Amino acid sequence: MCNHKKIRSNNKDLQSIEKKMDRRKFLQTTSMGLGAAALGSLFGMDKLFAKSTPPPKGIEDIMSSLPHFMPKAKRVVYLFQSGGPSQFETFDYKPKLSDMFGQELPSSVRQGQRLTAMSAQQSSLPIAPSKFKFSKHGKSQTWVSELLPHTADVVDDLCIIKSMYTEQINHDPAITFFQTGHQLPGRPSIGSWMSYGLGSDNKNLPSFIVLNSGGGGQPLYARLWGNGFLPTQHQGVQFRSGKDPVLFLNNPENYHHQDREDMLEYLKDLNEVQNSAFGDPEIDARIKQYEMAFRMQTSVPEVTDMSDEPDHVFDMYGPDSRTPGTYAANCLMARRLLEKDVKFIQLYHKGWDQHIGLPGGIKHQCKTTDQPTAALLKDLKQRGLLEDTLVIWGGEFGRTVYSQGKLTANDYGRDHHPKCFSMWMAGAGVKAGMTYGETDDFSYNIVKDPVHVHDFHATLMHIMGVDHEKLTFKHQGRRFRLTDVHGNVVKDILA
Amino acid sequence: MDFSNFSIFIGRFHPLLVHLPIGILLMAMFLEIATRLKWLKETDKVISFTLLIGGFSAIFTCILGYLLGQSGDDYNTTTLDYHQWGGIITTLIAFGCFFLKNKVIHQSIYPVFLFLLIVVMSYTGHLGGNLTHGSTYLTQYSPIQIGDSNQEQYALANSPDEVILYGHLVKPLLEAKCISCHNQDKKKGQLSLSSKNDILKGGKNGGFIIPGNAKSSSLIQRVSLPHGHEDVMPPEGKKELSDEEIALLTLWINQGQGSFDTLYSDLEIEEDLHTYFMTSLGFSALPNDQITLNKIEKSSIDRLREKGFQIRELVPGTFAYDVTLPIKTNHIKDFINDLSTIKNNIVWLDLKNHKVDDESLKIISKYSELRKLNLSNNPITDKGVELLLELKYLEVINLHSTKITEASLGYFEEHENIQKIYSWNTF
Repeated sequence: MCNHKKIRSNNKDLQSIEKKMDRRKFLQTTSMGLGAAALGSLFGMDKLFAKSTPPPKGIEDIMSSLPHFMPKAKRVVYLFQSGGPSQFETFDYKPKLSDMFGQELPSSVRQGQRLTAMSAQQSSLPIAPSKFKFSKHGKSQTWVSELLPHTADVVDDLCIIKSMYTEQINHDPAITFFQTGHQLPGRPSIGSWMSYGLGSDNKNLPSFIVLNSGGGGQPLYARLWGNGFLPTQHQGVQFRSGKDPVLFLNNPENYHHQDREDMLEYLKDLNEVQNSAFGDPEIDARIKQYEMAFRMQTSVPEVTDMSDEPDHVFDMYGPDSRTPGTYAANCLMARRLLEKDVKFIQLYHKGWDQHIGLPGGIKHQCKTTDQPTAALLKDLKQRGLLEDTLVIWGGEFGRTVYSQGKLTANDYGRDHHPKCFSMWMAGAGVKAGMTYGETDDFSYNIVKDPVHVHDFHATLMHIMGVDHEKLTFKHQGRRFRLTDVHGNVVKDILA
Repeated sequence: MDFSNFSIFIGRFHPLLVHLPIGILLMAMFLEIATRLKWLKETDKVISFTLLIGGFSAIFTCILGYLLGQSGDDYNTTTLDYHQWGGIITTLIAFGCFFLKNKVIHQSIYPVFLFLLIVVMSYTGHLGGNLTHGSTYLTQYSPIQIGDSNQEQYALANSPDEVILYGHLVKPLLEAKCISCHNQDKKKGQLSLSSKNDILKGGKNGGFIIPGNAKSSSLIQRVSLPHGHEDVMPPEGKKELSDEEIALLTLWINQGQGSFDTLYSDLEIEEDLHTYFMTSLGFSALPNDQITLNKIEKSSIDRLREKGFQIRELVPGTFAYDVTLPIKTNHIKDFINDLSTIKNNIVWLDLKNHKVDDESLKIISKYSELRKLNLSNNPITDKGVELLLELKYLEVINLHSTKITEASLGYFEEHENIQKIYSWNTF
C-alpha cells in the first residue's frame, strides 16, 4: 500500500524520507528527470564527467574516515578558568614593568586599540606591574609566579603558550568563541564535536561530561556545552555536587529498577514506531539517551561515590577535595572519570574576573585551584593516564597591563585584554617543559608565534587524531566545522 | 578609434574564416562523388559554382592569414611558411579545378586535380592547427603514442625515492597547463617549454628561471599574478594554477635550482604539500608514526565487540587496533583467549582493573604488535612481566598497583623500544 500524497517539509531528514520512492513516483519523476539530466549535462559537461570533483560526502563517509591519523590522546580534560586569569600574575613574567610603576601606557604599545567601556573613560592608563614575585622552576627553568607553587612543581610537564589571542573582549562571546569556535551562541561545543567524531569509549557514561565550580563571577550557560546542530546525544552532561550528580536520573522512591527497565523497553518500542514513520533523527537521539540514562543509574553513583579514595589522595588534591562541588573535588572527579575512559571532561571554574582588587582576588583564585590542578596532573602521571590524556588550562582572554581604577602600591585592577594571554597544555601529544610564543615587554602585543583560538582548536583536534578541516556537519545547507574556515595546527608544540 | 592595429584585428578572423573554403571545397568533392555514383543528376553547374565560391573564399582567407602571420613573431617560421604556401597552392588548385570543370578538355585530369586539392588543403589545415594549438595538441591523448625524438622521456617512478622533481612533477604540469601555447610551433612570447634547452633559453623578456630565486623568475611572477590581471598566465579563459602547483614551481626553482634531475626526496617539503604531491603521483603519503598491519576480517572484530571489548581502529584501513575491556568479569582469561584471534593486530591494549595474572601474560606476550600495554591494578608479578620482554615493539607499559618489584624494571634495560614504565604504588 502506497501513500502517494506528497509530504512537503523543510526538514532535510523528512525530505530524505519523501525521496524514498514507490513505483508510481519513480515513473512520474524519471521521464522528466532523464530529460533534465540530459539538458543539465549540456550546460555543465565538465561537471558531469569530472574526475577531480568527488561527490559531496555523506555523513557515513565522514564518520568512517575517523580518526584521520594516529591519535596521540584518547581523552581530554579541559580546566577552563572562567573570567580571564591575568597573565601578569601567573605565567607571563614582565620584570621591566616594575621600573615603570604608575607610568602612562605608551600609545605606541596600545596602538589605538579599542578598550572596553569599563576603562575607556579612564583619564589615565597607569602601568601596574605584578605585585607578586616570580622565580625559575624545574629543569626547563620556566618563570612561574609565587601564587602557583604547586603548578611550579610540575612545570616540566607543561607546554605553556604565552601568545594566545582571541577576537572577543567580553566574557560571554569570548567563552562562547573558545568553546564553540564562534562568538554567537548556537554552535556545538568542542566536547560535542569530539563525541560526534570519535564516539564513546565507555557506553555506560556520556562521552562529554561537565563539572562546574566557583562562586560569583560571570554566569556560565548550559549552551557552552551544548550540542548545537549535532545530534542531541553529543551534548555535555553536567554532573552536580550533592545527592543527585545528574538531575532526574534516579528512580522515584519505591519505584523498582526492573519496572523502570520494562517501562523503557516499551517506550523504546513506541518510539521506534514513530521513528519508522517519520525518521526524525531526534527520535533516535531520544532512544539513545533513555538507554544511556538507564545505564547511568548504575554507573554514575559508582563513579561519583568517592568513599573508596584513600586519604592520601584527598590530601594530594588539598582539603577542599572532600567538599563536593569545589574545584578540588571536581579535579578528583575528573581523574575518576578519565579512568573510566570518558572522552572529554570540561571543568569550569569561575571567579577570575578581577577588574578591581586584583591582588587579593587572584591570590584567592590561585589558592583554590593551584594545588588541585597540580595534583590532577601528578595523579594522572603516576597512573600512566597522562600517556593518553591531554590536559588544558586557560581562560577566555587575558588582562591589561594598565590598572583599571586606582593604582596604589598594594592594590590595582585589570581590564579584559584579548590581544595576548597565557594558557597551558600537558600530557599526550604536546611537548613537556616547553614555552611557546612571546609577548612584548608590556604583555600587550604578541611578538612571536601567535596562536589564535582557531589554531588552538585545530591543534587539540590534531592531537585527538582528527583533521579539523575534515570533521564536518551539514546544517542549514552548508557544512560546518569547529574551526569554520580558519585554524592552523601549531606543529611546533606537538610531541 | 585606433586603426593602428587594424590589420591584426582583421587578421585574427583568419581561424574563423578558414572553415569556409575547407567546407565549401569538400562539398564540391562530395557532390562530384555523388554524381559519379549516379545519386545526383545534372550537377555540373552546381559543382562549378561551389568551386568558384570556394576559390574566392580561399583568396580572402589567404589575405587574412597573411596579415595574421605578419602580426606576431610567436609562430614557428618554418611551419608558417609551409602553411602560407599550402594555402596559396590550395587556392590556385581550386581555381584550376573550376576551369577544368567548365572547359572539359581532359576528362581524366579533373579528378586528379580535385583529389590533389583535398590532400593539399588537409595538410595545410593541419599545419594551421599546429600553429594555433601546438603540434602536440592533436596526438597528446591518442591511444597510440608515436615516438617523438624531441620529447624527453622519464621512466615511471616506482617508489617515492625515484621521483624526479622536474620529470615527474614539473613536466606534467607544464604539459597540462602551459605547453599548448608555448611549444616549438607556437612560441607565444618567444617561449617554448617543449624541451630542456627551450626552457633554459626562456622567452623574449628573459629571466624566465633564475635558479634559487623564484621571486624574481618571470615564470613564478606571471603565474602568481591575480586572477584577471592582463599578464597572468595561463591567460584568462584558461584554468589558473592552483596554490599547490605554484608551490611546486617555486620549489623547483628555489630548492631544485631549476635543475632537471633533482630528486624529489632531496627536498625539504611541508607535510601538507608532500601529501598532496605524493597523492597526485599515486603514492600514499603515510606519516612516519602510522602502523599498517595485515588485514583481518571485520567479523572477528564484531564478535569481540559483542563480548564486551571496546575496539577502535587507530586509523581506518590500517588494521591496527586499540582494545580495552570496560566491562567487569571474573573470567578474564577466557576473554584474553578470545582476543587472541586478532593478536597480531592489537597495537594498544588496556586491561586495567581486572584479574589478569601471570598465566594470562603468557598469551599476551604473543601479541607481537603491541606498542602500549596497560596492566595496572592487576595481580601480576615479576614472573609475568619477564614474559612480556618478547614484545619487541613495546613502547609504554603501565604496571602501577601490581605486585611487581624493582626486578621488573631491570628486565627492560635491554629492551630496544621501551620508553616508559609506570610503576607507582608497587614496591
